[in-house]
Amino acid sequence: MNETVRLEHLFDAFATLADTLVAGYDVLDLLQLLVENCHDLLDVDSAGILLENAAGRLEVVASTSEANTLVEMMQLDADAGPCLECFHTRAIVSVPDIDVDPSRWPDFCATALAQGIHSVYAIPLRLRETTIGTLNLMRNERGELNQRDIRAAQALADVATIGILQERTIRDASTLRDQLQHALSSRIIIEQAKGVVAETANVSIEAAFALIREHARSNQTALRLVAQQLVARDLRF
Amino acid sequence: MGVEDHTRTRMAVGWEVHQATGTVIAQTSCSADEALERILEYAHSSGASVDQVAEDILADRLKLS
Repeated sequence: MNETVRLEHLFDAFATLADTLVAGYDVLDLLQLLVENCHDLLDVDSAGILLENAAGRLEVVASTSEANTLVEMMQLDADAGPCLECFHTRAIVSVPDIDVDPSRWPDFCATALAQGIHSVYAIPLRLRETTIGTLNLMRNERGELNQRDIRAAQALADVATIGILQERTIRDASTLRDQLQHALSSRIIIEQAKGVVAETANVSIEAAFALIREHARSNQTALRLVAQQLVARDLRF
Repeated sequence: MGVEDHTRTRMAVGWEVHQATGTVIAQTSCSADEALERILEYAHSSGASVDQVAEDILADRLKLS
């Protein structure tokens, strides 16, 4: 992608994010959009988001890859890894070369390296005193992520975080914890719906997700609602 | 133990269990709660890990009736 095209796409990403916030949205859809934007626009190979669950632990809520290996790796990261450190320190944590000190987080580093991931960047989803989770960018190459992409990722993450916190203030009295837990449970229903569609339409899990997403987008419905209908068998593909 | 309780611990090991739950829902027309129960019971009685059972279901190597 050349620079002009990339800038256009980045502009589109911010515009879409802003439109979504203006029009009303589901938190999970917003986070899914965010990881996809990061993957498409930045020099990263995969991206994921972890939110703090009701028990105070970080859980994977969105990922660019369907591969369970990636989700498991991020979950290990949440127990002991750069993303946990990022969440606690509320600051960006950069690991430009996992191989330099793999003993720092042995489980996470071994799993990441086994998948060909060599550098990781964790960005806090934070607004002033509140941190709701982390955005994790993974690269197969060694080395720091370039400054331009860091700024873009931080800005995308900031807009999404402000949107999530703002939505709660305006619309309902539920606690932040409830709101985040709701997004996490949406993910469970979406995974179940993928299994339903993969089985009934006889397609892969990846293709099933593409079908669900397509249906949600063309009907301007939240992923969670489409998934709920599929799991209840009220909707069939 | 409700689905949310099960799944909260499940999240720690990936998403395959939820996907396999969907497969079982489609195959047996049962609810999500029941489908997950069946997976957990099968894992318990066969001695396999829940992740392994989920993987087998998704790969069509195992069908829970």
